[in-house]
Order: sequence, then structure tokens, then C-alpha cells
Amino acid sequence: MKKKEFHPELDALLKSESQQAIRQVVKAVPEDELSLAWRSGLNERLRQIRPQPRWRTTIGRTWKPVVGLALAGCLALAITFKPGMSDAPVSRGNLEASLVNAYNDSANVEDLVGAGLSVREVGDTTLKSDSSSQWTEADLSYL
Amino acid sequence: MQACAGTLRLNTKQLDDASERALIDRCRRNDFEAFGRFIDAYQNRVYGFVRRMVSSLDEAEDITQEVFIRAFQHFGSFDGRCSVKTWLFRIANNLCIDRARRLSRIPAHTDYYPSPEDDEPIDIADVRWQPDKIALDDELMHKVEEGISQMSEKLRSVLMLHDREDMAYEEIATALSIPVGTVKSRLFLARAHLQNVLSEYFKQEASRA
Repeated sequence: MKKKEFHPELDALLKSESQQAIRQVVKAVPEDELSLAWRSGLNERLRQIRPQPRWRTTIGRTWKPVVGLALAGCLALAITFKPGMSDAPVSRGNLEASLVNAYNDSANVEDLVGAGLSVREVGDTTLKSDSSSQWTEADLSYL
Repeated sequence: MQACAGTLRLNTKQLDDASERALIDRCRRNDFEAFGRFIDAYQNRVYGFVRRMVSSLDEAEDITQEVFIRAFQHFGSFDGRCSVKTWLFRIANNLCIDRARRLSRIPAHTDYYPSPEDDEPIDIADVRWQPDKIALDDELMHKVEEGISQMSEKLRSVLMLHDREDMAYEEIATALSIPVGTVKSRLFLARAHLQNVLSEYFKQEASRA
């Protein structure tokens, strides 16, 4: 606080009627109001610069790396011991079985009648030979 | 901060010395709720000062926010050698000057020297001129604001702090870092300027009538 200074002439002028009248005029100007939006904006800015409590800072410094390492370890363990990661792949499923069956059938047919015929064709041939024969049971008895 | 988001409206006039000291102590310890009450008490007054020191309302709102942010950041270093109001208005004034310098918008100092008759009482027959029970109508208020805005910022700041904020000469001298004698002479010049503006206005009104 500054030391009191005396300026008698100035003080007298400032206390004059006209100067005091102007003072009243300035005082009578209505007060300015700020909006709630302005206040919310200020609150938001203050929240951003607000210093964190010490305990929170300590926890942040100490435990964040620990938690990070723990999570990384868990992830590594999970990847290492993931179920279903055996050495030999196990074949399963209908598609593979049907492919194997088809291969076996075709191999058998090839052994019987040679290459170029399918199982169906072999089956049809057998049926045809039975049905196209004109020999009957009676004819056979004559022989 | 939610608790202090404008629910509690306080006026500094309602804060006695003890409760203001307690509030300031809490603010120094970064008590967020206490600082909210502090803002409640001073926001309109600081805005009223800043609004008359800068050119636009948006700018005034930004600077007023900045005043409280600076106050919040530096409350710990407030040593109590001056009043908290003086300290706050000092921040506000410095920010206004910085902004004006940055934008190169410092109005040229109006070297206004009142003529001897300037300090004579206004003798205009206008019914609105009743300083003791003034209720300013819109037109007169506009004229007052216009007169204030025409002054240099040096005169304006002193006028606002003394006549609006009721700050003592010594407090103003501390806030603006100028001698007390300069405060008084600037106040005299500011009032004389405003008196001149209003006198012209009333003369025009009287001739119109």
C-alpha cells in the first residue's frame, strides 16, 4: 500500500460539487452481468489447469507402470498357453472324410475295371447286365 | 467445480473482513469451491472494468476469464500486502494493457486539459440531471458510456476504479503502479472530460426542446 500523500489543491478540486456529481453518474451506470455460459466456460478452463491431489499423483507415478507391466505379462502368458496350439494339426470335418472316401472308391473301381470309370458307372453296368439278359430261370434248367 | 458453478451468488459487500480472509486462505490452498465463491463475488465487477477497457464484448469476456485463471494459478503467491480486490484489478489492468499492445489498439492519449469553466457546476435545466437520485435512462446512459469510451485508457482505468469500484487513491496507485498524485490528477481529468461530454449533451437536448 502506498504512503498517504496530500495534494490539497487536487483534493479540493476532486471534492467539488460538479466532480462529485459526475462520480454519482458513473456510479449509477448499471452493473454488467455475465452469462452462465461464460461461467461454464471458465469452470471448464479451471478444471483443466486444476492441480491434481498429491495422492492421485503418487498413485499415477507408482502404479501406472506396475499395472502396465502386469497387463503385458498376462498377455504374454495368454499367447504362450493359448488352448488348441498343439504341434500336429488334427484333421476333422465331413469334407475331408468325404474326400478320402471318394478317393478310396475310385481306387477300388480302378482295380476292378480300369481307369476312366466311376463307381456309378460300374454299378449301372452291373444292373444293366442283369436286366438286359434274356435268359430266364427256366432256360437255365434246360441246360 | 460443479458445486461452485454459479449456484451461490455472493457480493463482496456481503463478505465481512473475517469471512473474506477465510475465503482467501482457502483459495490460497487451491480450494476449488472457495475459488468458485471468490469468482461469484468479483466476476461482474471485473467484467465491468474490463468491458470499458477493451473494444469488444467478446474480448472483454475472454480477458475476464483470463483474469480469474491467472488469479487461480497465482493465488499461492498473493502475499496480502494489498487487498485482494487491488490485486485482482491489477491483473485485469495488466491484461488489458497487454492485449491492447498486442493488437496495437491503444487509443491515442487524449491530451485533455479542462478549461477553467469546466469545473463550474452544470447549470442545465434538464429534469434528468439529478445526481443525488439518479436513474439513468437509456439515452443518457449511452452518452455516459460514450464519454467514458472517448477517454484514454489511463483516465478510464482510474475513473472506473475510483468511481465504480470505490477504491481508495492509494489502492488505485498500487493497482496501476503509478503515484497517488497521478491518480488524483487523472481522476480529475476523467471526470472533467465526462462532465464536458454530458454538458454538451444537455445543451443539445435543451436547444431541441
